[in-house]
Amino acid sequence: MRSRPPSPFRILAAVVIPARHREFVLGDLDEMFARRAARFGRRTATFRYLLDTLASAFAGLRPRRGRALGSEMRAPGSGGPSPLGKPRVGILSDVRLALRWVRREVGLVTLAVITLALGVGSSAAVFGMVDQLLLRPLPGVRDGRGAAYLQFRSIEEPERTQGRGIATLDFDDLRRSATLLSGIASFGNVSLKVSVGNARPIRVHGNTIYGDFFETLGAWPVAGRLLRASETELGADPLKAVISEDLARKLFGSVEAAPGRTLRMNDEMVAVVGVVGGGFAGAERGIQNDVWLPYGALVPLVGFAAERLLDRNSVMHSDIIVRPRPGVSADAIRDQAGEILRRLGLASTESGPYLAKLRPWVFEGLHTPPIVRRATYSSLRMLTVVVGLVLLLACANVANLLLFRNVRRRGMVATLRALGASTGRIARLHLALSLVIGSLGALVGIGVGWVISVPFKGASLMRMPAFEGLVLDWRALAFAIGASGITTLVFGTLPALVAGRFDLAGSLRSSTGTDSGHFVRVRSALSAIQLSLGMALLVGALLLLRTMQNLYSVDLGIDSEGISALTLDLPRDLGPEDQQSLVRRLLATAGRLPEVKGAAADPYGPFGPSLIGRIRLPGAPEADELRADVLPVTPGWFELLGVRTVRGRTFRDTDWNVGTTDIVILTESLARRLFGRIDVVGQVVEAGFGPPAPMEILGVVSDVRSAHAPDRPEDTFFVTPPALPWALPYFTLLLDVQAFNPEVAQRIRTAVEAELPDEPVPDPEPIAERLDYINAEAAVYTTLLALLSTIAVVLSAVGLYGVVAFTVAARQREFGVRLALGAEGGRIARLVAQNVSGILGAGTVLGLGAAFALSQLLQNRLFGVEPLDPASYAGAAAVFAAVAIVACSAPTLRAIRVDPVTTLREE
Amino acid sequence: MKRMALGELERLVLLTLARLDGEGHGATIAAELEARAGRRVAPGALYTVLDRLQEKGCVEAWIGDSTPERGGRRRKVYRLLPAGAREARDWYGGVRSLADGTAERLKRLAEGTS
Repeated sequence: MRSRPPSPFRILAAVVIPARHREFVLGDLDEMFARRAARFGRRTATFRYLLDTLASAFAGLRPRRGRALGSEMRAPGSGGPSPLGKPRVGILSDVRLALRWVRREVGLVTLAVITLALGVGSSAAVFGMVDQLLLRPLPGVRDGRGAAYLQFRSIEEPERTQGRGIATLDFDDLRRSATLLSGIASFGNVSLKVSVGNARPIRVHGNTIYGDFFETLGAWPVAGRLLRASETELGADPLKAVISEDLARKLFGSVEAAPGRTLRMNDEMVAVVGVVGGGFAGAERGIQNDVWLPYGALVPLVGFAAERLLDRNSVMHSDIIVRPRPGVSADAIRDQAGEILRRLGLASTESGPYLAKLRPWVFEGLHTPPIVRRATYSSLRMLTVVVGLVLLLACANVANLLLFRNVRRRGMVATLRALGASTGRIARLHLALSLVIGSLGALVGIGVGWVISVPFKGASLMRMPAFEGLVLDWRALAFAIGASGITTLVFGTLPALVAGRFDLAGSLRSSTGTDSGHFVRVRSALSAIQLSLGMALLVGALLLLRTMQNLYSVDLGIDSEGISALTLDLPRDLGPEDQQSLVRRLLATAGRLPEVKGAAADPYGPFGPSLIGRIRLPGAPEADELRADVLPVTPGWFELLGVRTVRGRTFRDTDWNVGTTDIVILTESLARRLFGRIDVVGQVVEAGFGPPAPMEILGVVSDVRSAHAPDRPEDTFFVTPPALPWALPYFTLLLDVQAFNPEVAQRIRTAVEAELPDEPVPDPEPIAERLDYINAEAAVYTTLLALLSTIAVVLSAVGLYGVVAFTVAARQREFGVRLALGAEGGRIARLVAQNVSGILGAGTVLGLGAAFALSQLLQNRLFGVEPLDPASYAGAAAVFAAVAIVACSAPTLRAIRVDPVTTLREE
Repeated sequence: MKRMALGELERLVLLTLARLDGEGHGATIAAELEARAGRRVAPGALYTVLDRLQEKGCVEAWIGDSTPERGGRRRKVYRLLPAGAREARDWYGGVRSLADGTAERLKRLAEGTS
């Protein structure tokens, strides 16, 4: 049998061995391999083959003594008649030459590499974010791109991104009639207390599912089995669950141990049928679900009435996933769903009129949930534009630097040409140089990208999971290499093309070059564009920074300093009155701790969700009724959170103890909206959670604002907890803990746990953290834009420096003559400044225009600052003036210090 | 006659060619060099040396036949030219006359026993 080396090594050899002797060297290598394999065995032979290959590749790289650069281009066979004909020159020898050039111009190449790395790094970091948010498949989902979300929106409110639901019976009809789908299911979110045996329960998020949920998603079991469509329907036993791998490990120690076990969920016993694999966490990115239950589980676990699930007015199926049959388009699905809705709308069922107003929306690909998809896309579009600009800046710089190098090296190129090198050969040299710069740039760029992504670790973006930072997987690597490869190829060839047509004789005569008007114009234009892009980004960053500042400095009307919140699950079987006394006990327990200076309670705590109530003047028509936030609060709440009493008084313990329900406190702005004044203590309004009932106004307090929409006061009225007509599943203790630390948190938790033996108790969290969470997205954009604009400023400074340095170099002779004739340094500096002012002027005008365009893109992210905020624009202009001075000073000084004798000698 | 400036490896290659009856290609030269002189030379490096020898008129080269164990690739065959043979002979003669009678002494010196 003929023995050959393993093919990867053969391919490697074919690539790395210089073309000059490739055929013979490869033949020899094969022959030697065969011989060694016969004598020493395949392994030794392979090892030697690899060694010889590498040695052969680098054999030609060692510089040969006594040879001038360009000898590669010498006419073949000049040492005598060669029977072998013309030697071929491979890309490796080009790279070798390029490496020699790199050695000669370390400074310039370093600058180009850094420039490229900044551009590639920032775009790789942003690509990493886009990848994690959009492109990467959902964990545990097979072919999420082939599936879609189906949503119903009302024609009356098409802008509302939260979908409308349809009733179970109508959904069944849709399932039966949608022939273009191979799978369809709906899911809802539930939050459950889960425990094994007598352990303290933990809080777990899950989905109730209806239809072929797991099949549609392409999920697979790692232990046991998944729930079939028939098991999710209403007749089936609902107390069965599929759980996540994480939960199985946490509760049972291992994935395999889970199937067949029983879990206590909201005090019902639920059988675990299986564990879903691949890190599956549900059909939407951003929410970690751990439990999947049949839709019917809402009856025993959450307390829904069984009839309600079948009621045509109970429109529960709003989150729907579908999988089209092969070859079916999203439009076809939408059309068919629309057709079915129209038919259901015409049917004489109770839900007919409602369904007639719904229209289907299809969102292809299971990644961003429909509710935030548009916002996500627009955010990512903005990021892409910005990062594209930065990359463009970097490209312009690289091109600029290469042009500059070209001109400086034109003497060398001319020598090469004079020795007979073809234009193609010279272009290949340029390409090889680009290759070297490009690979270095990609390498350093990955590092830069990683550094950029560090501040964003754990940032919550667009309701998406924590950003992992720039994970150096093959996708990020491929992106960095692709970006820098394309950049350098395009921008490395441009100078090569320019190099193809220049005056050979002229360049040979003088090494500095005289006529470079063409280059100067191109480069000045490039630099002006760079300046304008940098300025636009800087304006955008300043606008966002001011927004951030405003977001944190706005007075929300609530003093969250030192206040911690503890949101508790309350036992479900308690009636409203028992719940009240439990909250009272908990407040007393917490208040006894020495670290706690004050305590109050409301359902969710500040900056959390709110309850909506109705309020109107007595006897006013229903049309004049206002929707307002209604907060049941315990006495002491206002004082604890620094909400001022403006008129009258706030609640007292006695109000709560006797169970008074007919007193209300208004905020100033709500009092004004209702009465047109704030002196309204003792007046009567009609208010409540459901149908309004008469209530007496006890007092008026200062305004509160929502952290989500801080631009105007939230209409809010306050009632006593007994005014709640039902028992809430949660209540939040608000504690004044000035010296908050983990130990104090633990002590508070232990005290509360003693009162709530069967409920999960979380750690108390400072309310300020809630604010940070709400402002996180703004913070992410601000930091990112600040970073990118800093990079842009640096890049435009480098660009400007390059142009000025080049201009000075090109006019060196002129300056020399002027200095020799007695011109003073100041005069030369003025000449340089004249040159630069044109660039600066054009850059500023263009930049302000570009900034205006960018600020329009940012408009709905701004708070408390106008898109045309003069301070931001002036600030950016000032920064660039400073940058210009710094960038110009070094070359100008060089121009002044130029020795006239040196210059004149070249004449 | 003016002496050529040849490197050690170049001279070794000339001698190797002489051993191979004046004719050889990369793989045979490399194998002989390794077997006799203990010099491991990668084919790529060998061709650099052979090119130089060709430029100096010590060897001539032509394209030979292809064989299956070379993966169907052709060989490049080098032949020792009279100038090369003279170079090798003169050099080797010089080395031999210098070395004459030093074998015992060198052995002692190398072993450090004087």
